[in-house]
Amino acid sequence: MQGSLASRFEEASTDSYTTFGLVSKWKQETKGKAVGYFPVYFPEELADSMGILPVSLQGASGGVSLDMATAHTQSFVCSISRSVFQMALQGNLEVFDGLIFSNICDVARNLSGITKRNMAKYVDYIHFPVNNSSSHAAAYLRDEYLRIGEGLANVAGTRLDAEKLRASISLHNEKRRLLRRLAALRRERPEIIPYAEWYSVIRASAVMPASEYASALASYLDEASARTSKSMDKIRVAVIGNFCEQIPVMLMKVIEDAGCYVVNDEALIGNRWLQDVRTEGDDPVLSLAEAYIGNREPLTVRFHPEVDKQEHIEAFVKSLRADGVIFCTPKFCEPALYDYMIYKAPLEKRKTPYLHLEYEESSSSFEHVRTMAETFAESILFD
Amino acid sequence: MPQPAAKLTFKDLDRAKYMQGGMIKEYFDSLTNSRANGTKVAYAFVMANPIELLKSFDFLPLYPEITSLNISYRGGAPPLITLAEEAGYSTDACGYVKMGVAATMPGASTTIGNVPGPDLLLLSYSGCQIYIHWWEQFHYQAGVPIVLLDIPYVRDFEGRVPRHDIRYVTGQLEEVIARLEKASGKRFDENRLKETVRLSAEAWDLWRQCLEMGKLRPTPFDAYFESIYYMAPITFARGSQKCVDFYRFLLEELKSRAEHGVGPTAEERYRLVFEGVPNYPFFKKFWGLFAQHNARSVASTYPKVAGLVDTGAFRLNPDKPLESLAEYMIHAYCNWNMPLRTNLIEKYVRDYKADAVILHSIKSCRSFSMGEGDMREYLAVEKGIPTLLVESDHVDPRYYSEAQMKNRVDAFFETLDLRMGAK
Repeated sequence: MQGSLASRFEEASTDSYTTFGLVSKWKQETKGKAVGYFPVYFPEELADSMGILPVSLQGASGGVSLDMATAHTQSFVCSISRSVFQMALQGNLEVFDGLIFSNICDVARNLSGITKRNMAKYVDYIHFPVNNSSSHAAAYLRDEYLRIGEGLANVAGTRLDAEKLRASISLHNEKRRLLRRLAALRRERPEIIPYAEWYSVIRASAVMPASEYASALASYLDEASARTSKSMDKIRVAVIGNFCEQIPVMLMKVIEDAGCYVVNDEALIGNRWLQDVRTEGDDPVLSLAEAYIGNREPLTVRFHPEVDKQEHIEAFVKSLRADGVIFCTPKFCEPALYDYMIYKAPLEKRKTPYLHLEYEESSSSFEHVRTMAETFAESILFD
Repeated sequence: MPQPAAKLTFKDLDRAKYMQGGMIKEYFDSLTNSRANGTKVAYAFVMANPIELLKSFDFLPLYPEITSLNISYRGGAPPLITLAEEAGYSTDACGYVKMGVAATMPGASTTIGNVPGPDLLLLSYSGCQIYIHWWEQFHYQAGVPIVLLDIPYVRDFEGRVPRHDIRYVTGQLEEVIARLEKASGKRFDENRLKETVRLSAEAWDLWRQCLEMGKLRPTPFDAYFESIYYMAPITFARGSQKCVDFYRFLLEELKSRAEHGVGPTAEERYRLVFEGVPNYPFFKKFWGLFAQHNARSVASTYPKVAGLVDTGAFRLNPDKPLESLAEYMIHAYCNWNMPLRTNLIEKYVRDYKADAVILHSIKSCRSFSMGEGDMREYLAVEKGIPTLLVESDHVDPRYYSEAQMKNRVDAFFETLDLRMGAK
């Protein structure tokens, strides 16, 4: 990666763990506000159009102790919820003018309430529709976005404006297109983008202002596409399960070193999951809602009655030309653990090799992963 | 000269539990015979199920939460949990899910007999995200369709429910009626629904009166451990005259207990508020840990999972059956946000003049348990209410340490004694 681009992504990525210095700097320079949101998806356009910087809180990845949070939350909940709450308790999130959660799981849901009780800030919660095939779902989500929009407007001291929202939707459409291009490039030529670099680039999307990020990403794509690294004799694997709590980058490096190209994973999936949102029409809030409702791409934290996950996984693995699947499920993450059960059945039926690993964002010892991944890769290579 | 009426004992006034046991047996028999009788079985959840609608189409509801807890109560959890874990379910997954899925696996046998598989999966998503994942397991295992009701979370910290939530749920109920018509082959009869809703409303009101008997000093019943028996009919038999009759009988029995000065312990030394799901494999032992100190629960949150009837948050109305059902489904206990739940517990302490709060946190259920540590901080540290937080599981006996639990509970009562003596 080019020096200046690399350092921009790296700086933003590193800053988004515990320090959020770039957020403070942005607020000082623009006199704007910032909100943090818990994964997986948040309609960033609502905030951005009102001059609020939306920042995805992806956890501290071992950067903070979890003692205070564990006392409030129990020991059997995932690490990302505890590290985000720990940061809320000890002041790392002071820079944010509000925090937003959504119905991705029971832990995140209850986290919204205990965060509110412990922080004198705007805290809100989006109930994304689960009954996405209901004829009432889009109208419901439009009203829910308007409700959230009111809360954000109070933070920003402004009002939701249709024209500004349309402009922001266009910008985010571009950002998502670029992110999908990046994912496609790694899928086609994984040898040119090592995981650590991919992660740094996409993690930066959690915190950089959308316009700045889109511009930097476009330059990065031009630079990366021109690379000429030679492909090695490695298996192609799809990693599934890291849609919320972040996998330690070192763990993924161990998987790569064990003989795998990671051609897909779900890190920060919420930032590229939505397809293009319509910018024409009278009601951009409804357009934003309809884009969510109409999306058929499975997301573990979002149920769609008309999506067949088992059919999807088979087609998905085929489209990736993946030799195997590595399920990486965060410790205590029930949604990932249940989807693992749904996904593994068709893989077994089609004799697609898979491996199941557990991790925590703060994991630091990966020797067992190395052994398992090497065995997995060798069993496929020499099959 | 008329003889004074003989003083009745607790045993004389403990008949409702047996009546409830008979209703459970009858219900389980109907499940066992459902296939032979050609009755269609709809799987449903305890929280926020519109049983009134299912009954309107002659579906027999089966609640895997209830079958799982009953199997566990009778010592049958370990083989089912093992079966599920051998299939690949994690030790960190919910015990209810593992038992529910395993109970319908080929070769499974349970301590309550055969559990029939679903003909329809009614997913009322309220208060528990795992409901979705659980029903998906059944959906992919059995190829049975999911009929979904998405119930928005009560996310306002003052408890306000936006109008668009009510519109959304009511609209879905109308869509569900069409799905149920198709699945059952029967036409929707609005008058029948109204009558079912009327009977439900009557039962809810009687149950509320029973629960409020806990305000008496001494309380004539244990509002946690005994309520776990008493709450069953409002869950599975709601919308029937039998259910109304049960709660009328229970209310009279509790009044008689108060009149005769009897209750579930020899005396009432401590008045407790309980939060959390009980430990079913060791239910009586767990109860005994508190009963031996003559502690009685005066109020608890768990019986409100089926509906927060004592808060005035909902009231079923036969004239507005769908809209009032929507409100009922929104106000399931775990569908309330944590500050609302915590404030409710604090209110119980005030209104029921309780001495302490017991939080029983279970590993299986993050919906209930995530954040109970924060509840303890608020109640104990900020409000000065003696609060004990203990952990185990509702169905998995591996997470219950009898000696450790006893030590914690005994030590708590010792400190409570000191504190109460100092007052």
